[in-house]
Amino acid sequence: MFIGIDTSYQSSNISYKGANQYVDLNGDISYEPAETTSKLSVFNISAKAGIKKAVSNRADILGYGLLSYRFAKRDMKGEGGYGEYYHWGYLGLGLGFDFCLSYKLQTGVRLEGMYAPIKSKYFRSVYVELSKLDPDLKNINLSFGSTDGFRVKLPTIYKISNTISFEFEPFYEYWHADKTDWKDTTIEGLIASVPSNFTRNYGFLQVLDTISSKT
Amino acid sequence: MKKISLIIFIILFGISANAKNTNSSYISFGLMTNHMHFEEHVTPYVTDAREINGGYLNVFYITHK
Repeated sequence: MFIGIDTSYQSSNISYKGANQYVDLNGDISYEPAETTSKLSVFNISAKAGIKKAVSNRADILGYGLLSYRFAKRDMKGEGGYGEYYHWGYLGLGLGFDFCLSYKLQTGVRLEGMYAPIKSKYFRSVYVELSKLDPDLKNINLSFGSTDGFRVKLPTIYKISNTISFEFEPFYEYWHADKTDWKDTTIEGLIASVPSNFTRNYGFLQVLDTISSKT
Repeated sequence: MKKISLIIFIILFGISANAKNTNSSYISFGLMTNHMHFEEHVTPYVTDAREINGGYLNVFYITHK
């Protein structure tokens, strides 16, 4: 059996040029240009627990569960800018396979499916600071519909010494969040929503593992 | 449907503390280099958003009742 906690934080400045869309009762669309620079920060914490079983003297299979929370903040500056705070609490199931290529080198694969089951203010929603866009608008909290995703990870671990390993892990992550509900913005006749969206995230991790204790 | 691309070069600082099996525990530090793509579906209307310098989306839209 194994247990663990993984935390990650990523941050970036992003420039954007686009428009806000306005639609009236007749279906006529108008646009208001928006050009912003955003500060995006994503924080993720996962608690995991699972089992690992040897299927040969060089190979293991493993299965595990995830209890996770993802928080993202988008602070858009400039004309048309406003703030958004995303909250996702989610569960996950993972399957994995590890194979020892040599005493020092191990490779493997992880497949994880994720699902955010609770539709609530702090577990599957976005808080939008519309007052930054227009002082007459109020800040609103919008709940997403069905929210799910998956990850594929290919960890390769090189054992530098008995206490230190280097890990290289290409990954692919996919999230889908269904459209939110509609909320009143307090200005009469104005309601707001966030449409369904997809996030694809891929890259690689470079990790130094340090065995800190033995029991 | 409008596709809005997001290209971010993000450096992640990751830390994890794992008890990977019953007789050892680990502390891990790492960096992540990644590329993120965000796509939003707005139907039947389409936003006029477009990407610049790998810009992020402006997903929010307002409609009159």
